[in-house]
Amino acid sequence: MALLTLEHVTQRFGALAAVNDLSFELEEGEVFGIAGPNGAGKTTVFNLISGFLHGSGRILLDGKRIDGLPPHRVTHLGIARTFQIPQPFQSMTVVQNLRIGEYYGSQGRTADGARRAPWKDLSGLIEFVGLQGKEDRPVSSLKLYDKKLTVLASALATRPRLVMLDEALGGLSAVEAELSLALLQRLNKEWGLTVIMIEHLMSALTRSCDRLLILNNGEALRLGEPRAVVEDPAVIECLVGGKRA
Amino acid sequence: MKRDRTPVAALPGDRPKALRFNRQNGITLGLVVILALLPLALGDSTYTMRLLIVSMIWGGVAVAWDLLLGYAGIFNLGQIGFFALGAYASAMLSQNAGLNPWWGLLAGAAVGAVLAVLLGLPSLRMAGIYIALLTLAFYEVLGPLLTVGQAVGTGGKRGISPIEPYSIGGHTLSSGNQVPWFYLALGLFVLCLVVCYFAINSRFGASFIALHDSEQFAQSLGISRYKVSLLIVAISGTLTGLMGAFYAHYTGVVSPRILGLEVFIYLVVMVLLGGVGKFPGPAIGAFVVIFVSDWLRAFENFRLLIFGALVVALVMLAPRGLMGALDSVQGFVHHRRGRHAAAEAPAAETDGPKP
Amino acid sequence: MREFIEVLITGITIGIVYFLVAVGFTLCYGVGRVLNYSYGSFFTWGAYLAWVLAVGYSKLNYVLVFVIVLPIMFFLGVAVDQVLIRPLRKRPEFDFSVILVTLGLAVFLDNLVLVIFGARTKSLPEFLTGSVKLGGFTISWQLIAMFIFALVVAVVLFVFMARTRTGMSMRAVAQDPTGARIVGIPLFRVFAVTFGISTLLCGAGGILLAPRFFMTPTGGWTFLVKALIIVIAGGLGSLRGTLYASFMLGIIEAIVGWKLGLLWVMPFWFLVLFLVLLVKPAGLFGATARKG
Ligand SMILES: Nc1ncnc2c1ncn2[C@@H]1O[C@H](COP(=O)(O)OP(=O)(O)O)[C@@H](O)[C@H]1O
Ligand SMILES: [Mg+2]
Repeated sequence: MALLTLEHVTQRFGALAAVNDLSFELEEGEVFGIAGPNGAGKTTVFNLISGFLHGSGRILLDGKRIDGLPPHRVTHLGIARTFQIPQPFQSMTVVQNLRIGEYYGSQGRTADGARRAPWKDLSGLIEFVGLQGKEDRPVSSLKLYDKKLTVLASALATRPRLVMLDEALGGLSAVEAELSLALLQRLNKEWGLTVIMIEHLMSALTRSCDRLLILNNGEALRLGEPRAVVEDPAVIECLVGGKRA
Repeated sequence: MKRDRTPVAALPGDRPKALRFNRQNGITLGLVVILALLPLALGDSTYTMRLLIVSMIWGGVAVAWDLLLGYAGIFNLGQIGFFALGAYASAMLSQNAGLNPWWGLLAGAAVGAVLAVLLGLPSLRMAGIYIALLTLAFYEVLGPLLTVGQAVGTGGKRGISPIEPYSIGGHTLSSGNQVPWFYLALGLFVLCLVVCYFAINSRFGASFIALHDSEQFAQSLGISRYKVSLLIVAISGTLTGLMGAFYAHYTGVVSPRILGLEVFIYLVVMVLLGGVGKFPGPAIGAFVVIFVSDWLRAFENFRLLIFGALVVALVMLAPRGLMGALDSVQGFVHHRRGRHAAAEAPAAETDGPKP
Repeated sequence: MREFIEVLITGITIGIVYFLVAVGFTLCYGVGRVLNYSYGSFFTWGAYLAWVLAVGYSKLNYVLVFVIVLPIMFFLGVAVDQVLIRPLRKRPEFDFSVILVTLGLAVFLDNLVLVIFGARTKSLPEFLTGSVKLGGFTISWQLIAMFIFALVVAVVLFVFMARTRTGMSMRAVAQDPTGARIVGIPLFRVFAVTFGISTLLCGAGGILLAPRFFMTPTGGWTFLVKALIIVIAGGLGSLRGTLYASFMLGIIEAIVGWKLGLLWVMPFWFLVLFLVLLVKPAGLFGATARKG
């Protein structure tokens, strides 16, 4: 059975259909990419899955419906996410941010009723993302890359099965982007996490994704094997040509 | 008002920090100790004692309100409504139902909690700005409601008076001797301080500070906005209702006048002056406001004019209040000391990169 | 029955005045994101200024009173926006600061009135005396004058919003402030004008309603709360919702005041608000109040 299923999901803001009749399935262990021009509805898809928006259509995790659940319940079921603009808790230190995720993220129970074991030791996680030495720095003093890492590590501290990354590489230097990419490949290969990533950088997507979805005006333009998708003339037209068809 | 609140002392991993000595609990402890000793120094200066008691009552309310305003970011403008209904509940139970006034404390707390939750249920589901509208409407409508509520025993426009004072071991407290009243008030004041301090410096506190700092991020990490907000509103309402109940029996009168603008603006100044989100600043603000307003008694009509202007000036010029000023002074001293140390020992480790 | 219809007519007339007052409040939030808690004080100021001109210190004609007072109210609003609100816009907690600053300002303005004019109630005379019989109903000239004045202001406002450049900028800013700035609309000027118009509407309401209620220095609070209730019931930022809610509550006020007395009006209003929110948590026409 698919890990995550979207069936005819639609989200309207007034007259605008930010996401329009979108359906796809996600297999356990997959790295799934989403690309598309600005305003295509990528972030809205994340907001729908993670319970910040409640549109129409059905969203299922392990065959059970999760649309309609509030965000914290979705987290407790094992879906974590990051945000396009990282906004960690300003009045806390890095490690305190992580602890919030560790403590509150594991409070709930998984779909099969088992209590998920919390992290024993956060220093492993901090080293994994590369924030060692900055644990006790107040978040407000961090640069963008470290803020992104703090948000990612806090999300991971909730012990997710599926992690959704919203433009994890956006705004980073080439070196930082490379580090981030390596990180998320390890998440998939070593930790066995399923990953959905929104990204603009095509090379990153073709390198790390198993499948790629192109969104345009809220609708699925193409879905398939990344290399095939990016060479599709319609996709090139959509991404390189005018912003909107 | 600014986001740079005093850093959270305790999170799941470092719980004992709440009990370790720091500026927050240091100032709180100092305040309480000085208060506890004051009656010895004041002897029987009834007048000053009265002012102190009133300050403690409002100080308790101010820290409870700041829990919502400064820490949880919930713009509840109906706090005095909780206070007033706590006072009415206790007064009505003792005057109309003949219940022992001590029970009124429980009743006041319960009324405050229930009311806060009732008001919170619909409004916390909405955007923050709606809470400010709805709670102000609630506060403003309460006066007329209590006035027309004569049939249920609110006493209409004149309110309820006299109200039976507490008695301890068969001895009824009188207004002639303020000392027992003082220590009772101190007890309740300390209760408010302790509850708020541990609410802020606990796991629970971490969750509502997280929500305030970055709401979506907090929710995405598994915090239920609704549950946390409701709980914090209930705590704040309970403490406020409790203080209201005590107030009723201490002053011996409650009337819709308690819902007047004057009281409201005083409370606003207490919190602002002390420092929004700067525990225990608002409690200290309460003492300043009560004493200054007493000192300004001669300027009757100008008093509120001054306080109104003061609110404007504080928001515009000193939004972080007294505790904020203390932060700045401390920051300045640290900075100076740091520079001195660096100048004296250039080889000492600084913030620069390590080899 | 006849009496009932007369009460209904009164209710509709009050409704249209409340609409003016509430629209000013909602506009200020919709365009400038300002919840103006000193709104009630501007109401009071409008009424007292009119009193000064029409009763206290001269005996000017009402039309002249309007012509003088409304611009004063406008510039008062612009000044408040520039001096107090604008500097707060760069703060992270703008909403909260604005609420506090306008609360403080309200107390200041009310007490300025108190210091200058004293606590005794004042009253404005009716614009016109006598009444007219229309198809068996007795309607006072005062009510008709109120209705016409309010209607004129409402129509002018509507035309202004729909036709003038400034009005259109205001609507653009309300819909999308970032976009509006990108296309070159001067945000701060639009905010200031909006604030001015908002206080002007409130002042107009003050003059129109003052003959009906007695004036006191703190009397404006009732109208702030009335505006709040209308705006919440109608849905914050929705003009249509504000219109319906104004008429609904105006009529309720007239009927309750007639049957039970004015003291019962506010409790009934709150009851209606409560019922509306139970059914539609975002108000009648509000869409954006709820959040996850
Ligand atoms: N909360 C909202 N209210 C109204 N419109 C929104 C909201 N969130 C997103 N939109 C609109 O939906 C469209 C898709 O936005 P988004 O999902 O953020 O795009 P992107 O693909 O760049 O992440 C955009 O036109 C955006 O303006
Ligand atoms: Mg996006």
